[in-house]
Amino acid sequence: MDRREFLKIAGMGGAALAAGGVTIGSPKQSLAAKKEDIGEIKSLKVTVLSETSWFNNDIFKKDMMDGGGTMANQYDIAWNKDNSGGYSALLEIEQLDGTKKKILMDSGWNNSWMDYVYKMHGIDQMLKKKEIDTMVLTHWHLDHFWGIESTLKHNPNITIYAPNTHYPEDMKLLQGGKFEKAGCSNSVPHKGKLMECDAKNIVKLMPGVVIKNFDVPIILRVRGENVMYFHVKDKGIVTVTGCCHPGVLSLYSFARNNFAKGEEVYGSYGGLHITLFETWDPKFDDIIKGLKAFKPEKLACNHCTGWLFAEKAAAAGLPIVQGTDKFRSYKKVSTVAKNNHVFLTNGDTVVF
Amino acid sequence: MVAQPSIKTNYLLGIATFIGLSVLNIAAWFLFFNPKGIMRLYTPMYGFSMVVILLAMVITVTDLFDCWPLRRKSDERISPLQGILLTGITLLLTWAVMFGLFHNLIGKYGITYFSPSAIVATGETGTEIFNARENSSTALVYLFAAYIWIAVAWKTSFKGWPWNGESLPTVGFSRLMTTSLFSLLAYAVLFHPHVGYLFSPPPKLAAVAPWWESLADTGSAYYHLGWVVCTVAILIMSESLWEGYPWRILSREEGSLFGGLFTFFGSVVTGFVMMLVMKKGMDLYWGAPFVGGQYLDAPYFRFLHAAEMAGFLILATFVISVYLGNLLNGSNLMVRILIRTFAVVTLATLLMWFYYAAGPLVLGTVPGIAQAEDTSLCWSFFMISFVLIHRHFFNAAPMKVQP
Repeated sequence: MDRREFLKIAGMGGAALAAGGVTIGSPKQSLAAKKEDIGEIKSLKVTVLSETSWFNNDIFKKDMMDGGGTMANQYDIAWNKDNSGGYSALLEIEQLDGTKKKILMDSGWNNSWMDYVYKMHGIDQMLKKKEIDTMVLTHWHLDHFWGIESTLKHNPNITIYAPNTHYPEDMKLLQGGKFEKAGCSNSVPHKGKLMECDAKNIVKLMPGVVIKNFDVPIILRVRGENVMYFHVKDKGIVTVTGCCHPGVLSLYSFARNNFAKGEEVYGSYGGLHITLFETWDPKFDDIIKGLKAFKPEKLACNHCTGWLFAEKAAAAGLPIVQGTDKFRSYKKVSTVAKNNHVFLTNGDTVVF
Repeated sequence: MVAQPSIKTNYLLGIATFIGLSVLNIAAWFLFFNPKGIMRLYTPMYGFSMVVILLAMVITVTDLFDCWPLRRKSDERISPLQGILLTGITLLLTWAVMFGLFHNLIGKYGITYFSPSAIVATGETGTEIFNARENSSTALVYLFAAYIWIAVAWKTSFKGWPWNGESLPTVGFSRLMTTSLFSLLAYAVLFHPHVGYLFSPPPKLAAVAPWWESLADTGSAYYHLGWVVCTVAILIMSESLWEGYPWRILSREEGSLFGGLFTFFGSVVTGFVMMLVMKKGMDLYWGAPFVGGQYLDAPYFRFLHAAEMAGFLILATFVISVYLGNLLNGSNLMVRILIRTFAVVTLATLLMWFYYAAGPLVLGTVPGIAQAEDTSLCWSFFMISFVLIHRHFFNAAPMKVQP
């Protein structure tokens, strides 16, 4: 037996394992051959109601680690209620015919904080008057969903688009439930439609606006995130995310492969889930390098993007949208907030 | 490191023994690592570093020292009491190395990033205890991955050379020094740049920027972890399944410098090719990754996943060799090799299926593949440690495996 034969056998073994191993995940569903024309909108305005899901990273992480780490069930963790805030944004869409539509994205975490935020921006009245009749829940994480009572108490019939990858605890909270240890509750059962988004289909909200569910594993036992894609006329594709767990470049790549003119990326709003705990990794340098290749024109980031990433991205020449000091007028401010305006933070707006 | 097959294998007993050991392993996983369990140490890097150091210490006690001082000759049979003592020594070493040597000595008086408390004390951006512990654990994972590679490679490549005929302690300490020296060298070049750049600002005078970025499309050292674990898999499979081939062609039974170098570098090349083959399979299935992509789209995940698959191959090789007597010991060499390799690949695939399909229920992991907070290497290395402890310290009881 010679060396060549052995190498051949070893190579065959490796190839077979690779073939066997990768079949555990799902293959890429390529729609590249048939790109979807999602239509166009005239403009999109995003108002940051709250991007401070919690105010102190150290406390949040301590709660998480004491409760079993990043893969623990979020409902089994005793969270420090004083540290909780929430993530929520108001999306105002102007269609090509001039029609305007408001969508609420996410409902935050701490009801007291969200009540305060909603009142400050008049969201409570918009909900009551049915100016907002649709909410897109990006994912079932505590800081995006547990403040649901603040929304439902003004409009229990609101239509909610949410990932179909929910757990019984999520449904219990949505339908009116309480979790003592985790410190979350909802006394207003949801009576409207729950539109469950799966990873196989794109949901068209209106011309130029679609929801795409990405079935990705996320920390704290959550799975799947809804991402909103907007096609702004004469500008290009805009992604709007809660946390962007699938990765911003994967979102761009999906648009490029699946949407007509999807390669024309204009920008992004939302959390980009990079240096959420203000700690670096060489793979984040990869993201900066990859973003430059797509040449977006507006990156309005906040929340789990991390100030550190935003600073480095801005320094690397990426078009980071400058925030203002409005967030300082809120009654609470994040301990990691800086004065360099690289974050689009509480109270700021961006127009695409 | 690799078990010799028993004289006559009772396959049913072997399978039952392995299942029993797996139950014990899952119970221990629940106690220490399961996110729904008792101590919940799989955060993930903190628990992962414990597992990697545990495996490194098992290899130190078995491969480097041949279970000295509890046995004087390599062919002496270990008694159950000695087995318990050796297990205790291994666990004590794991604890002493991680917390004593690195967290409290080297980390506090030498290289900051090896100690969580020393990192926190710097007061730099993001250096609170959770991040600090994860970062210092990442460094330990890389360092001891290099150690495991060099230890296995040295034993397989150079065998007894240059200490043939020396006593077990002489050979043991000599191998320990050699392994430590070369693993430090490997760590410095392959992994230290990644660990240095876990911090912001990076310590530019102490760590170069990841130099492999343009080669791998990522600055992550998962690139190196991928081929290193694949290389270990190749060495273990060649030693056990392929009866020392292809390295036996040029290597002497007692080991030699030339044969050792041939095996060492040959296994590196083969391991690297194996990683590329696996990555190609993933690229065909999931589509090409791209710079900055995350989850399945991340180049670094593809390299990590190659290491994960190699981890399952290593585990499967040990299971086949220890509990199923390497399956075939008659017939011609090529047939034996093909059947064993096929069996190992099949078993590795089943183990992968178990991890990803049953893991959320049995191990408490999050459903799905490419979860950033989860790597199957932690569980597969934990299981490999169990198999090696069972094999070497307890003679794979109740099976009758020779020392």
